[in-house]
Amino acid sequence: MTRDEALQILGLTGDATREEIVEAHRILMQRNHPDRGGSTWLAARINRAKDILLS
Amino acid sequence: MAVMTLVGVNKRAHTWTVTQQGEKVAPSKKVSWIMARFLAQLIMVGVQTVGRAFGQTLRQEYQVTMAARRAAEEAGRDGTRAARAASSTGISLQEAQQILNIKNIDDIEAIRKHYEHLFKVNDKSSGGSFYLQSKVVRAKERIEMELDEKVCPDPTPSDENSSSSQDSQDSDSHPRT
Repeated sequence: MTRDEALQILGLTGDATREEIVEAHRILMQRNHPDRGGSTWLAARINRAKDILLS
Repeated sequence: MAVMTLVGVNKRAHTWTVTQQGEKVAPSKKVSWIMARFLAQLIMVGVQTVGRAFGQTLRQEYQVTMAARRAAEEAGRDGTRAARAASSTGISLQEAQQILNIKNIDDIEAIRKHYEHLFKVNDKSSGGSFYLQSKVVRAKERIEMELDEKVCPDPTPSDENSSSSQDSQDSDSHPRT
């Protein structure tokens, strides 16, 4: 996964701050969580996107 | 085989020169005449042999190529269908099932419910991600493509199910919007 793709997944732009990344991840993760009718695949992508952007 | 032909040619050339031209031709001239004839025939036979062998090789080569092409077409017909579907939507069927969290693609009701839910929670207007929503849409398209291939009966959504799923989704998304 590229950085651009990770930004797209979290719905962010390149100038997103650390807080914005964490917040976007939190919201998307709540909505797509497998335990709440979401999907494992999407949740995995969201997690990976955050890891890439914060690393 | 070539050697036998050469011997035959030689013999014939020899007898011919003796019977037809006999004493009139000087020995040296006779020899050169025989040699020329012999050489000409030798070349002819050589060319014929090489040509025949070349033609045979070409024919064989052509047959092998055609057989290979036929085999490839036969094998490709089944494999390309999946490849075509995957390339037009950008995802494989397995990926599509994972995205929509669907175990069995014949469970049309589950597909519809999961799709509606995931589409809604990832909608850009409610702070979702357009990328993820597109993924959800494409996953549904991919599964529908698979169902079209299998020629399944049309889905008939029951009213009480759809209204109950609507309610649960509303209660899910309210606190956050």
